Amino acid sequence: MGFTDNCDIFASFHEDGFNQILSHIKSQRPSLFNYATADVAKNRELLCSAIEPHPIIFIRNNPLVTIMDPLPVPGTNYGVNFAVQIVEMKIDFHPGNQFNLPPELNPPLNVQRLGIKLRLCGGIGCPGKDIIDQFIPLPEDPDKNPNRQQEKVPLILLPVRQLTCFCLDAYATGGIRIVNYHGRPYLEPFLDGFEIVDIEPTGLENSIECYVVLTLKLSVLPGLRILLKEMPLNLTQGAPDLFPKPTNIVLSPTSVSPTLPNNPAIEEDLLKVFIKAEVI
Amino acid sequence: MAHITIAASEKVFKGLFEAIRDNFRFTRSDSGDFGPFNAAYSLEAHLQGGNVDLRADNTVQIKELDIKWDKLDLTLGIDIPEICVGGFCIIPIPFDGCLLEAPKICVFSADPDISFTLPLGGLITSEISVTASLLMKYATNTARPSGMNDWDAQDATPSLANHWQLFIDPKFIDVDIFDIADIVGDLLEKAANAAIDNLLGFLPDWARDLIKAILGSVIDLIRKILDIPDDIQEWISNLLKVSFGILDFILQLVADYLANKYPIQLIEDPYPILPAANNPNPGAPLRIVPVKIPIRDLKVFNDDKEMVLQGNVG
Repeated sequence: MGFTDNCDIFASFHEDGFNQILSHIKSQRPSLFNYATADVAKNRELLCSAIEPHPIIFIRNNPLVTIMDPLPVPGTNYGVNFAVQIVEMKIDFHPGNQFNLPPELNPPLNVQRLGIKLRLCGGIGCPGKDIIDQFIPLPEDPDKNPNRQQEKVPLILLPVRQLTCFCLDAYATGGIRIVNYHGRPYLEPFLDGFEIVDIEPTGLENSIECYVVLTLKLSVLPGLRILLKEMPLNLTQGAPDLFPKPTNIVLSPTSVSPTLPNNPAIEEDLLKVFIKAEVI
Repeated sequence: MAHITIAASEKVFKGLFEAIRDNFRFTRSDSGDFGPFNAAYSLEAHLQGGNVDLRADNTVQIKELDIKWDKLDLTLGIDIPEICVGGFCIIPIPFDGCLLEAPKICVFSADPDISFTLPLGGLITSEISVTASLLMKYATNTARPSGMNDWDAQDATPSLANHWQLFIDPKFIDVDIFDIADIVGDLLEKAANAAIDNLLGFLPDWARDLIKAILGSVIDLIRKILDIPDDIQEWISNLLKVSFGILDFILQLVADYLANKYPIQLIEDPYPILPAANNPNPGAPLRIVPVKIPIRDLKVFNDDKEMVLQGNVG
């Protein structure tokens, strides 16, 4: 059976290639995977997991970390340092064989689905008791004018020698589909399940998972939709003297049918895309 | 299993062939001095007909592709030996010269004396057949200084990035060129006659008749000057093919396009999968580098149904 029996152009991507690409993104754009306060970014030894960037990051002075505001201590002007890092990210196209899904996600991986494994590490800069004691606010001066407005002052960062770190394994299952919005096709990732391993008590785990799922479904995944607009490729741009007009090939997704039940398809450790091509 | 597989059906190939064929245009002109005559040509051509076939032996065959000569003007400039008439005595004075002389008129004193253009465009048919295989080559940019990193190479103007290049590598090219219609002989004779009539137009009738009588058959004269054998078509064909090298030019054009001058697709290596972006943090640098993935083991092959490109992420 040929690759193009049900389409004009066929493209497939193996999970090993995807994971290799993820490792390149992680080393060449570490700021997508590491978030921390400015103090932690300046003192990288405070991070929960060491970053191993590509040399170009140092040559071009690119950031290792996306700098975040400190975590505020409620009711005070104080803030604490923190860091959140995605230290491992792996994708597994059906059939599942890159990692084991937790029981909560009903392994094995369903047909036409992909799994994602994330290892997240994070920590906050909890000051020692002696330092905390120095920052405990004094009672209000009873003689102070009660009508005097309090000035807005910048957050005062509590000093820290190290972060109190933890690591979590999280798993997600989902897929990729083509959906029409406003009459136009979009390539859309979707989420079936999400599980953080080994958080107690169960209510806390469920609450955190709920919050992550809400964030993914309502914010992150809609932002990853790709409009499958017609993509023209000029195949004769290298020889304008011989081809005064461009030779374009316009690409669009092949419609599903009994002979092509899934497009895109996630099977045989591959993400497969079936494309209709029109030469103009 | 390959990390990336891309396959295109024969139907796509046929569509591409037709689009490329229909968009293909070429023009060229040249001139040369060949002793007793000089010549120049100006041509414009496009492609028509033919078909493409993916074959089970990993080759692609393009058959009977016609070159249509929208314009192929061949201009010949001919140097005819000088002919003088007149100058003889009409009324002689016995033993004392001449009372009245006929005026002496010389023609064909310039070089060339006559010039005429043969519009051969509609009279020539040419056909190309090519058997080729698809070829993926890795091109290291020779202008790139050693030690330059891939990001500096991409930023250079022009880019110094390395590329994977996809070519059609010709195994067999058959160019059946310049099948010239036999009316070209009449065309040459008429054009030469008209050019001579035009040149002699200023002469009185008696002088023109006299000169044409001396010249005899114009076509015989032209044949003699141009050293044309019996077959005028073959002479013109040789002039265009051999003397001007149009055959070599077309072969070179086809071979260059198919083989090494014009890759049909370029893939930068490493391939920028994420473009440069704004720095998420305040301060310098304002932009952070694109993310590039090395492409390895890229290969291309075909059977009688489809062309397949496969590669790995390094």
